[in-house]
Amino acid sequence: MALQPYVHVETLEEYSERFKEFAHMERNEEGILFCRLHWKGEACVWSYQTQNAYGELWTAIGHDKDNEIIILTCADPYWITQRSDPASFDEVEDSDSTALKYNCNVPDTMNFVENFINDIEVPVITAINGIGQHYEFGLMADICICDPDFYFSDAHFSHNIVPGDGMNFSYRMCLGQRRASYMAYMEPKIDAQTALEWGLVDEIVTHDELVPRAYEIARHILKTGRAVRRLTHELVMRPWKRFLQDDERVRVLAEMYAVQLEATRHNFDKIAADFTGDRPQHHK
Amino acid sequence: MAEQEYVHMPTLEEYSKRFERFFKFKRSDDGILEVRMHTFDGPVHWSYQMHHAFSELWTAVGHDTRNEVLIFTATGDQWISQVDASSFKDVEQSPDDDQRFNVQIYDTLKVVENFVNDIEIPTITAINGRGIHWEMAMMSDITLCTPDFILQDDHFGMKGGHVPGDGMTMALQKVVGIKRGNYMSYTLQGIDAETCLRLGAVNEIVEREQILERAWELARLIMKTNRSTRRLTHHVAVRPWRELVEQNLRQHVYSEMYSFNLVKSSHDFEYIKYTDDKMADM
Repeated sequence: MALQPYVHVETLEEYSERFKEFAHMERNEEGILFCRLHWKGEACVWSYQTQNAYGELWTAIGHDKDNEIIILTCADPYWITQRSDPASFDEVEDSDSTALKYNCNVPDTMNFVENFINDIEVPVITAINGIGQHYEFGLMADICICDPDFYFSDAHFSHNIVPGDGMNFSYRMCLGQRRASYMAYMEPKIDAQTALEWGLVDEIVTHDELVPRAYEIARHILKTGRAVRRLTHELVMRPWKRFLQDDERVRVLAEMYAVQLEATRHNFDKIAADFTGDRPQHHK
Repeated sequence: MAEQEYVHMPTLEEYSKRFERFFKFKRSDDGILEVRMHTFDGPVHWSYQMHHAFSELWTAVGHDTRNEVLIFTATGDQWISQVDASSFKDVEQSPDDDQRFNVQIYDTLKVVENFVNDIEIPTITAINGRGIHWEMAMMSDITLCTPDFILQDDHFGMKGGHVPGDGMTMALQKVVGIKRGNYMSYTLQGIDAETCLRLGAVNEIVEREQILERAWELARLIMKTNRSTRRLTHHVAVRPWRELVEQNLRQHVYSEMYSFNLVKSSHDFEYIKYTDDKMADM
């Protein structure tokens, strides 16, 4: 008999309470963790608080060895966000606290991506339920399915911001040099059918079937032994881990250096226009 | 006023309680955090429980943005040099494959990965005596040791199936060079504190009575510089380790655990002795 018990690790009951305003989580007896990102039950609100919360959420989910597979989706009708909270950004950007600015600019921006890749050690299935932003969690997931009306977009450059966060990073991994370069400068919208042809998503599934299909995929994966599933996830994630280690901090520091140099502010009118602007072109 | 509050993160008070059986914490007003490992307030007993506690510790310390510099040390006159053999037997003789996977793969990876990936502040380790698992000390930004410290690893000599894959050879190759690191792994020979200093494996040799105070002195020196400079300098300092861990650790760990399971090995702790009768001439 060992001298000491294992240290306590936060349970689902505990972290689902801690994150309850940012995500709804439930786990069935098979170990499938269903995680729907939201803000108090409605579509997410983009803010420094939300960015911080999801970075921390990936760590909490990842450290819990009772999670066998993750299904990730967002509250309808948007993916991650329908709107931003300008006050959240202003408070940080107008603050005299360099510690607060640094926390939001560097570790939170990094950890939002890094913790997803490094901390979650089980397969993740993402069901993209609508347009929005930060689809990198779809791209970085083991399996990604999306709604037929969905389109990819990422507007940083036209907002006078270096596209240094997880989006262009993920495009570079999934699309290669030329397309990722074009996406960075030209910011085309890529519809679901094109995304499927380009290999950005694995299946297009009608909106109501997204979650049932995600469970079906999860159950298929769960037929295999625990070590095999987890080590297959490891193989799948290895290119992402390497690219993260090599590249992502350079990207984030480049973005944040330019933001500080030019005292760039978030342009919310333009972000909102992403939702109401031109429908996507079919790019070949 | 922002609509949302930041999500609650465990405070020092909370995680000091959570880890009380394994680590004692002390933090100054300006954020220098001292973490001292212990077992029953004496020298550390190595166990799967301690191993797991390490992996969780680095995440807790790393996610607390109030920590500004980390000082890491152990209790008494030893580093990690006693063993709770029953802890290893519990797992290794158990029919529960899931438990074995958790400790062999997940925890073994995370002890090292969470140390280099989760901690985002300067790290200073004061090695207070002889013992195993000094890899986290070697991966720290600054490493101090006592005059009696011996850098040595016994994995390869244990009965069957112990590839030195949990970060020990990886760290040796990095701090003393590939030729010396590989030689030490095969021959099980160690090097003393003076040789460590000469080869660049440690930065300073300090008497046991003064080593912790010296670590605090260095931490206070680092604290004179501003916060983002300290943190980004840490990222510059740790980048070679992060690269090394990303490229090598998983292959090393899977080598150790594949071989360990293939030959149905178990931990042969009687073998491990910290004497100076097997020293390398370097």
